[in-house]
Amino acid sequence: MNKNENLEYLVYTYADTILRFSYSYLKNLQDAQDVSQTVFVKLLIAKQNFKSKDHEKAFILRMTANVCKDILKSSWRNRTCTMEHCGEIVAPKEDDDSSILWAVNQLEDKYRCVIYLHYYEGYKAYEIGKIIGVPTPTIHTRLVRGREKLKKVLGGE
Amino acid sequence: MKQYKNEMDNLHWTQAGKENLINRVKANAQQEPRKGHFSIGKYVVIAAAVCLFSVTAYATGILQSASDVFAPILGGTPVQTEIIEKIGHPVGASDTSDGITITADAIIADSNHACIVYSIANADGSPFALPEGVLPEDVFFAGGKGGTELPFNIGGLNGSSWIADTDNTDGTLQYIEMLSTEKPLPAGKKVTAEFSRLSYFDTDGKAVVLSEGDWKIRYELNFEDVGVKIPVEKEFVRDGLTFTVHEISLSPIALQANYTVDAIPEWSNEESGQLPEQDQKEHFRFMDTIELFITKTDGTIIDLTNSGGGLSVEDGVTMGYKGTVLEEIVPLNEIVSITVGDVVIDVNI
Repeated sequence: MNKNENLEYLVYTYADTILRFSYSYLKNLQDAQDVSQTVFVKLLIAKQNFKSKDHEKAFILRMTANVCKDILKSSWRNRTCTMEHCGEIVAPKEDDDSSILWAVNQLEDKYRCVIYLHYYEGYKAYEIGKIIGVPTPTIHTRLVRGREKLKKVLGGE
Repeated sequence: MKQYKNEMDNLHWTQAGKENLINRVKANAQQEPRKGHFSIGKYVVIAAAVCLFSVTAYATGILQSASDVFAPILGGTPVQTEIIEKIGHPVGASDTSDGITITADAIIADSNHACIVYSIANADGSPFALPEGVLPEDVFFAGGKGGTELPFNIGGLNGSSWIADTDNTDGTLQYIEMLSTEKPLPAGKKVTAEFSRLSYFDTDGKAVVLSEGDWKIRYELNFEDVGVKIPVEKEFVRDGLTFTVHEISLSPIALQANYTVDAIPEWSNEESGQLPEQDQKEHFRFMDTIELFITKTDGTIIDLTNSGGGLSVEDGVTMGYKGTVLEEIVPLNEIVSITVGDVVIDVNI
């Protein structure tokens, strides 16, 4: 696979995953689009070889998490959608308060990202710990507390 | 969480969006300077690795430093005496390469699960050279060897391994290996643990080699079973199916629930490819949907609902099991109850 073919493979395989994970982290579609672009540029330059598809995906999610962390640490956040990028993604309504996604978005970022990795991607706590750089017991705690908080947001006890 | 999955599925790039993204990435990559990292091609691990097995020539007995050895996976709790007495200690299970010594310090195991603790130490006692922002838990073995190997016919085998140490100031890192086997572990047999190419993930997620060393440790696998089996025989109904929980296998390192269901899954019988939607639905109804919790005395709940398992049909009854190796040791006297679906099993050990 040459460089361009590799990029196409990566985009068609992981663009949606990176978009969803970075949106879960940042709660902002435009930032998530920018994170996607940054991650693919890094991947293209890094020319990584991966042992397996699982390894490749975990590596890319880890890289995505690091880019998201950088954005959260910076004072700059992209709040507007430039005309050329609008219409590039399909997204559920962000203000639909009957949706679970809306409810998850009411939680802090530390809960949102572990909920995404666990319930959407199916990763176990120790795998999530490796991806976002947090000890496994902390992931367990975040999952339990995240679920509890989600229940409250959804009107449960 | 099915609704969450469905809603998240609705967030995606359009075809045109992906094409534009590719063009933007190409343009940006040409402007981006190359970084000076050494990039390695093969490595491991983040996720559940298919583990090999091995380890240990332990003589079981009293381990005075058990709390220290297992501290990274004990969550700060003291080790029960009953566990200490059953911990196996490798004898001379150590190898040095490239100025770094790896030692198999201890093993705790039940019949089908093992937790092995290794120490990785710089010979001169100095901390490992990790850049700012890189944590000990970012360290891993990149050479395709990162654990134990079982040369015996033990059926299915899986597990995981990771650095559990959070302190890089003492020149020693603790490496944990959790293993799960389909058939009982070959107690008393000689096994081998191999490691190579100690590396770390930098803050960009890139693997960087710390040491090109190769380590090989061979010894006998000796341990005492720390597990218990708890009969249950309780029912609950879920989605029109009646589940009967028959037995719990519990140890400080693993939990498994065995149950039957009064119906048979309707499999799609498709031969290959991804799990068909129909089969996913049946897996969900017969296994995935069943909650599996450990409730501890301090109120903490360990949610193991996403654990793996298996289903088989015999005489019109579906037999299922669901469980996992725990990611930290949980002394049995710290467990109040186990929850399987709607059944709560009190634990008093």
